[in-house]
Amino acid sequence: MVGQTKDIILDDSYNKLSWTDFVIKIENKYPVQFYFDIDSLPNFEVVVPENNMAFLDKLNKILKPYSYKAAMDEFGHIFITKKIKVYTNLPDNFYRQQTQKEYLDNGLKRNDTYLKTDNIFVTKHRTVGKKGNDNKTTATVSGFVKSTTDDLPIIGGTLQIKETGKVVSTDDSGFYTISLKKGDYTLIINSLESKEEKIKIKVLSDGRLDLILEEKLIALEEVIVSSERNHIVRGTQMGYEKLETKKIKEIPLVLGEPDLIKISLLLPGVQSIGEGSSGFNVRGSPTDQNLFLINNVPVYNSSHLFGFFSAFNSEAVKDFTLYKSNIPANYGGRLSSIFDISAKQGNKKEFSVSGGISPVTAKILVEGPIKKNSSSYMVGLRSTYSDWLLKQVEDPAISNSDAQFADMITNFSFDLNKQNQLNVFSYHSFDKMSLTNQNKFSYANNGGSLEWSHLIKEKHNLNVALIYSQYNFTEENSELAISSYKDNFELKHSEFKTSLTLRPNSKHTITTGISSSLYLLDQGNFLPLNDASIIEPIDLGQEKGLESAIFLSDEWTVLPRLSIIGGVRYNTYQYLGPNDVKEYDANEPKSIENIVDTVSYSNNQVIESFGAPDFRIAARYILADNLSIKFSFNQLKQYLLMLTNTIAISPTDKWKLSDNNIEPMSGDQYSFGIYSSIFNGQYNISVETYYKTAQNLVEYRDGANLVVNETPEIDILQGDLNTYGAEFMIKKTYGRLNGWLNYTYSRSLVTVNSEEPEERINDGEAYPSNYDKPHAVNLVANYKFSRRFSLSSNVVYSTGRPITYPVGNFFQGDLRLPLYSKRNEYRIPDYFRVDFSLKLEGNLASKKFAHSTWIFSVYNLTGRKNAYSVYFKSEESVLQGYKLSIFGVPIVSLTYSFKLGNYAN
Amino acid sequence: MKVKILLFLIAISFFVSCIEEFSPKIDSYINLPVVEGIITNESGPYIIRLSRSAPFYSLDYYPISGANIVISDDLNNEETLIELEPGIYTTDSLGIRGEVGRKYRLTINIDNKIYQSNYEKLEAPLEIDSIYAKIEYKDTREGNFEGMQFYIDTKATNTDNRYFLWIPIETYKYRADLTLDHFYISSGTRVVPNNDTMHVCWRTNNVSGIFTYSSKHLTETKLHNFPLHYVNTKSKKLTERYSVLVNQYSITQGAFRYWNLIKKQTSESGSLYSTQPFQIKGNMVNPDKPDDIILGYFMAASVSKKRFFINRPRLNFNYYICKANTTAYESWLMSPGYPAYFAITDDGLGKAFLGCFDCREQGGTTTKPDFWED
Repeated sequence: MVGQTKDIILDDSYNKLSWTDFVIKIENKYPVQFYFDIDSLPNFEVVVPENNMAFLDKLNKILKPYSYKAAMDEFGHIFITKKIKVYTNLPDNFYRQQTQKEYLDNGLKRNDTYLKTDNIFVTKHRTVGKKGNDNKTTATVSGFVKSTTDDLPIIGGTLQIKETGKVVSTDDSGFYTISLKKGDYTLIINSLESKEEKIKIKVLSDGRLDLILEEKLIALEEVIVSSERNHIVRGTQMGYEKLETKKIKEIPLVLGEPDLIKISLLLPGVQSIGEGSSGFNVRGSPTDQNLFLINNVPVYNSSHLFGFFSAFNSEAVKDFTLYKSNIPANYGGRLSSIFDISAKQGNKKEFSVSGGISPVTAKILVEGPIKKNSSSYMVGLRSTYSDWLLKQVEDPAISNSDAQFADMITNFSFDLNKQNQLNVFSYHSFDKMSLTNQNKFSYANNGGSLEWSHLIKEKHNLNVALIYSQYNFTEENSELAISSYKDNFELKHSEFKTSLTLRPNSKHTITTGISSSLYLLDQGNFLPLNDASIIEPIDLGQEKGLESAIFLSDEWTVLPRLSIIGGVRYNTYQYLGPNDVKEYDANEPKSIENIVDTVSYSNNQVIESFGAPDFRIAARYILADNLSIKFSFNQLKQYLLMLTNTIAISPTDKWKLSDNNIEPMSGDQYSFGIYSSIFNGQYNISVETYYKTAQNLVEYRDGANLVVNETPEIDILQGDLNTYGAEFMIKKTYGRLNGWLNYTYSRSLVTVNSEEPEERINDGEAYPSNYDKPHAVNLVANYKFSRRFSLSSNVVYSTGRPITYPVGNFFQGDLRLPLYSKRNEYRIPDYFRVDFSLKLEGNLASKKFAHSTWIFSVYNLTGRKNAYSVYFKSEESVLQGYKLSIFGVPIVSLTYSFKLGNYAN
Repeated sequence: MKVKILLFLIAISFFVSCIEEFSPKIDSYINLPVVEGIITNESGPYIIRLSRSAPFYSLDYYPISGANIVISDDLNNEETLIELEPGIYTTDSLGIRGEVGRKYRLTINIDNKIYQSNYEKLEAPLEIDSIYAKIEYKDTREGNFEGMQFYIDTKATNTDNRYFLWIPIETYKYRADLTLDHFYISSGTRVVPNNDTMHVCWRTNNVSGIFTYSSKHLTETKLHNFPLHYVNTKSKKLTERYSVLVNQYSITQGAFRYWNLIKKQTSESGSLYSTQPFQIKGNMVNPDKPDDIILGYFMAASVSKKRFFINRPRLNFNYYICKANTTAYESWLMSPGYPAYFAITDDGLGKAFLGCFDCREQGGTTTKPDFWED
């Protein structure tokens, strides 16, 4: 039993330590934990009394000159508080309504655990409302759930009434509401960010109960990542993953660059074509079916440096949520997934700087209050010095190249008053590359959003957002002097989005709203680069499209055990003038010869129009306290596609709108899963299966040239995509050892069939997509030796991606050529990789100027030469196969980062 | 506030992409007929070659004998070809003749399966204006090289055709590295040779690589500075005198597409942004059974030719040069083997291989070609 204060011996070795070192030393030696307000307690020098007093008495004597008192409970919690007077002085905003105040007084001796607030500790017995207030038998309890460390709302936390099994969750502002019969209950509060808390409540009448939760980070039980919106078992969401920046720092990554978005490749159902390629293939779907949003701003090119890094500076990102199964009705526009990234909100309490340096980039983040406790700013900058790296590569094609990139995220938030919040956000990213000095690319994303959120009657929510995003690139190619050219592209996205969340009672959360996006695309001009070039300029034209949607969804707790999210989203899309569009003979395959007319449309004249509803439903049924099943059905439409036929997407791939010749894509997905949480939530186990179809998937004729193409519709063949799979995941959420292990079986098959033989691919038979990898295993393990020192490892295995191999050879002239099999009939060798990293935190003193962290990591520890591609070359009259590996050796890197303040800040 | 931040960076980092030879297990084999052939505006005979595809790792060539092959034009003139050697079929030198503006097709009957090409139009030729070479440096995976890059300029065309294929054939003069003093055929048979019969050679090769271009997107109808092949200083090719005969074919759009795709597939594979390879279709089909595939492309093309000569350029050559080895001679004295070849060096008698003395060993002939101008 801990708390036997006589067990703790304060000998001379504790003398003359600073207060924080003293605390750490005791905490390391004994199973106790100190709670104190680091802001008000000075970091004084400890003078240990020499007489033979008990531990607690000695501690009180040490603290006496500073007017602090120490108390300890049976669980080894040591509370350091400023005299008795301070206990009673609760912060004004702690109990806002009729909640009866319950003070700490001498409750320290009680057997309960305690709930930490800003600077005091209260017992977890709480009373809501006043006795005899009304004649009703039920009462509504509502309030905000916030985090102790940064005072930010805890979003998507769940509150469960243990006695009835009823579950509610917190919304985007951390607000919850729950209806109960008056009486005594046990409230279990869970969230990603915090420890599970149990509170006994006594509900006397309607009332307010605000909860301030301690972050898990402070307690040793760190979770690297969590994949539940709410609770894995009790939440209704499925196919949902949430990753937080500050919890992924140990995971080893190539070149030591922490990259939150790339971590998603270690989650089940997320794949990429190969190392260093940009884009993600979520549940067997192409990369252009993912929507990347950062604070609502869509990002059209989400990678830096050929795809080695994502375009999002993890330092400035708070977390990201990946929806791959049931996508909430307020999202649309892409078939496969939503990567919803939240930028960090500036610290509203104090100024702070953090930064880091890795072998490729340097970054800095500055944040602080504009007006203390009500408004804040955050500016995150990142830039590279990667040029030297490229020079190390043996291949002159790369060593004669250079590359630069930079990005900036700014976020300003203002609490206008208790009901209104305003957020101004901007995002910029920039890339410039030159390949062997013959090929120059540059591209940039620029975007911003203005969001206003308004709280109505403390339970309904109105959100209005204005969003703008722009993506452009230019390419200069001088491989051949006579036809050296430059080409450009620009996409402008302007959007208005509003949503209203209503909570008429505790059983329903209704979300409704509209959104409308205007797309302006400039397909670019193909122009001679210089006087030596004699190419003919080509204007590839402009495009305009308007996509609008109206949506309504209801999260309905039908029974305590059964909840349903039902939603409908009606999408409309218009392809608008001004434009000159080609019309083809409908009975013949599209070709230049079969163009029957070119029709001119004036500005805003509707050329083609589509409209269709999406139905989305998800249901959860709790079988037992820690076991539930979930089902979902999801429909989506997509009116924008990326013109790409390379294996990995390239920086010169253009986006294209659906038009009179290219049908919009549509997709349906069915998912079913079983979820369990055992050993007090320490282990989460889930099995999720899915079956997904997409119609009008865009594929291309063999050998299509998409760089300069005035009629891409001729090279496009639309087909069907069928994918299915099962994802098994076991996760240990906290403890010294934490992490996860997952196995995914999945298939992804494409069929392009038509009456016309030349409009078929693979003779109309189904073939595996380029990213069909049936077996995938990911292990992420993190072991903490102490608060300062941890070790992590990844083990990644997947089946090799499909490839077309030669199945014969033949001559044309003197050249021996490969005779290729049907599309994707073979596979490249399987992929296997082990990574490893060590993290060392600076000392844990709570009063210090800056805290630093070192991460040493080795990517591809075994140095396995994983195939990126296999290809065959005709050399004289002999054919030779080659294997290309991107990282064929262990990649060692050291990353340094710092922040002002202590470890926990 | 005084901010004092020390940043350290120690990065021992390797960023290595690597390429290695790789021979995956390939167990299936598709056996298909393959056609090669061209009709030009030059006088015949025209040759059509017929073969079968081989298993991928096979180095064999399987000719198809006994097929019936007919070339016909759009005026219903036709000629049946005669099989000269297994798989090699030829027209009569006085038979059908390609004419600009006419269309031609090939019909093949293999074991009662009929394959027929589209009609291919014989486009008008475009005259070559000049061929020239420039000294250029190339960085490759194998290292840095100096060498000559060959270019071509054409005259302006007055036809609509904008598709070209070039087949350059190179001929170069070179010398043996060493002069043979004497050699032994067998023990005691000492021969003093006539070096003139083996010291200077000419060798002719097809230049490897596919050279195609479309001037479709150009504002001018003549090509200027179009790069052909590159010859580096790692070989003997440029050491004496080098010549290239450029055959410039004006081809159809279909033939251009075919060769251009082959060019792309054989040169661009494996990079980050390559496309998945696929079987390139030719222009012949079985009209009764479209699934029955035949590989290859029957072309109709007009040709213009030009030859270009260049003397040894002022470059640093770094090809392998034989040295007669005195130690090898001494060890030969201890345990002689035959035949053995000797040259006189500054240090005395040295031994070397026949290839160092006889240029014919390197693939050339000592007969000066008829076209050769010194």
